[in-house]
This record gives sequence, C-alpha cells and structure tokens, in this order.
Amino acid sequence: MKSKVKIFVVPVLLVLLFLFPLLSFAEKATQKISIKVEGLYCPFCAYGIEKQLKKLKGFKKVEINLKHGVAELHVKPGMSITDQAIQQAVEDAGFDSATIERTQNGDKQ
Amino acid sequence: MKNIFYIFLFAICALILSACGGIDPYSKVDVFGQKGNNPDEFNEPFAIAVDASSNVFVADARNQRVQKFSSKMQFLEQWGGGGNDPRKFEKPSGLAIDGTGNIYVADYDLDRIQKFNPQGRILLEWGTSGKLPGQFNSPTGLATDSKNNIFVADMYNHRVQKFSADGKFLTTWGDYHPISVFKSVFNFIFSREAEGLFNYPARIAVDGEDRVYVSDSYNNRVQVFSSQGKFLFQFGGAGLWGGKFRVSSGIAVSKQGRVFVADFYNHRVQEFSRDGCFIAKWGMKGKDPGQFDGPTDLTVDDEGRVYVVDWGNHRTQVFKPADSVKE
Repeated sequence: MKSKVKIFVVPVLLVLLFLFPLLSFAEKATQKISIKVEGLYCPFCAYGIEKQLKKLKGFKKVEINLKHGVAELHVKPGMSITDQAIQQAVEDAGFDSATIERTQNGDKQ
Repeated sequence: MKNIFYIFLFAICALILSACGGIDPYSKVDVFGQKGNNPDEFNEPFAIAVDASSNVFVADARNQRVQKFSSKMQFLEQWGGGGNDPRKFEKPSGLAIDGTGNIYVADYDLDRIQKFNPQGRILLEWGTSGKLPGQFNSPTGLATDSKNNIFVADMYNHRVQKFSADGKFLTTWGDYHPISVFKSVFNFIFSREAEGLFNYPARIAVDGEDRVYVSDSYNNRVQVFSSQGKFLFQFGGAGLWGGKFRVSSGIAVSKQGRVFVADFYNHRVQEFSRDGCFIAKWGMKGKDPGQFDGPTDLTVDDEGRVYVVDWGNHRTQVFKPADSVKE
C-alpha cells in the first residue's frame, strides 16, 4: 500500500517542483507600461489612444486615466512591446509624443 | 489714464461674470443612472438619440451596448456586447434615428456603422478602417436628413461623409486644419479661418431644412453646411463666456430651430438660434443635478426636452424648458 502511495505522490511532487519556477516566472513577467501623454484629457481622443494601443501585439489590457493623462498598457507575460511601437501608436492617435515608464510587478525599470 | 484703467477693469470683471453666471431657462432637471453595468446603469455613456415617440437610446460605451428607455427614462431593452458580429459593439460612439425610426450606431473601434429597425433587428452594416470613401477612422457623430440620408462625422479623418439610407456613399467634404487658440479666441478678427476644414469633428446634426451642423470640436466651433457640403457660416470660438467653447461636442437642433451644443471642458450646454446667435447656457463642473463632468453628447425631442449624456458622471440628465414646467 505504502509503495502505491509513493508511486502516486512522487511524480506529483516532481511535476509541481518543475512547474513552480515557471509559474513564478510568469507572475514576475507581468509588466505595466505607463504612457503619459500631453493633452490626454477627453474621451474623444482618449478612445483614440486606446484604439491604437489595442492594435499592438502582446497587450493584455489597456486602461486610460484621464485625470492624470496617462494610458496604462498591461503586457502579456513573456511578451514585450517596444517604446518605438508605443510612440507610433501615440502619434497615430494624433498626439506628438509620450513619456514612457515601465514597471515590473510594481518595481520601476 | 486712470479712467481707462477702470474701464478696462470693469470690462474684464463683466467678462468673467458673464462666463460664470448666465440665464438658465432649463432649470428643471431629472437625473438618470449611475456607474455600473446593470440595466439603466452606465459606464461612460457617450452618445444619445431620441426617436419620434421620445424613446431614448444611449450608447453606453464602456459597457459596449446600446440601451433603450421610454420617454420617462424607464429601461426597455438593450443590445450589444463586445465583438464584431452583427448587433455587437466594441465601442458604440454615435447614434442617430431616421424618420422611420431606424437606428444607426457608429462603432469607434471597428470603424463601422450598423443600421437597426425600430425593434432592434439588424438591417445593414458598412464601413472598414481607412481613408477611402466609405471607410472610417473613428466615426463618432451621426445624423439623418429629411430624405433619410445619413451623415457621419469621421473624426480622425477630419471629414464628413454622406450616405444614402442603404449605406451607399454619396459625397464627402473636409480635411485637417487646426486653428490656433489665439485665432480661435479672436475669431471676430480671423473670421474666415479654415472654412470647411476640421480639427477632429466629433458630432453632427441636421435641421428641418437639411442644413448640416458640424461640431468642429478641437477648433472650438460649429460649422454649418448645405446638404451637399457647401459652407454656409460658423459660430463659436475658444473661450469661457457665452457663445464660446472649450471643445464643442454634442450638437442637436430642435423642431423649433434652436441649436444646442454640449461644451465639453466648460461642462455646460449652450443654446443658439438656428443662425448661430447665442441665447443661453447652463451647467458647470460638478455632480449635482444640472452640473456636468464632460458632457459628450445631447439630443432634443419634439417637446423641447434636452437629453444630455454626462460622460464623467456616468449618467443622463433631462432638462425641461422653463416655460413647459408647470409646478
């Protein structure tokens, strides 16, 4: 009986041990990009930025904070979005430029 | 010299007072909705339209749906949900109702127009992303004329497009031309600046004679055209006082020929005669009834009631003309 339990438990533990670092990595890899855009105050243009940012590959969620004039781009784990692509999206939405700040699980990069 | 200084000071004070105070002919207001995703709640209500029976339609942008209410703002039905299938919306951004009660809905993200019958069944859809005739880049404003032609404020293409009732492209006008704030403030000097050109035209309305009123939002003005796109006149300009705008947004023309314009950053509604003479204004920034946090659209019914979507407060407000209110 004991050996049967061992046969079941050991592989499960091994699988968990193998998966744990991967899960941990995925959690760490959640990246948020804050895009401060001058003049981003009304929904007519905020929706424009949102529309352009949604076209970028690798985004998980886009949020617009009009009070602070900031668009927040949540990046999918393991994906990256370049500053150049973001700047292009901002320009396509009719704005001149943006200040980009990246945070990884709340830590500035 | 001292007298000139006092006259100047008096003029400045009068100007500031005229911007702060004002006639309020629409003191009776009813407020509907709050932030949420249940029926009769809103999350960023962005556009509004009313049909001949005073049923009210609201484009509830963040909830990706259109809600229909009775004339007393009782919830009747809704449709939408995210996606690009028929009857779905990614971001409903503009509404219009034609003479037979058909409902048109613009989609900001999908660059398309959907046409529904009065029961909400889809009849037609058209539009893709682009700059060609019949394509759109964030359509936000819709209006229909007496022949059921439909006009679209194609915001990011800085133009107006006109279609027949079956969605066939008829004509277009406009191009990009931003007016500086200085020229916009002093537009009584630079009065012929950029006629027929736009800087993010967001909303559009048609009057009883099929004249087309375009809210040229970031040029802080309204331009008026013939049904074929011939420039007729303009009014507005950047400013705080009556008759001026800080981003003109929603626009509607009543049966009686009064023009109502939502003034986004001034958090108010303004009323004009059909030839653009300022009549009245009401509203200021706030959460109380009659106050606004960024009105994005408005409409007016046959009784003269003005319906305003109060975007930042996630609600709809209905204003009744003072002379129609019997307490």
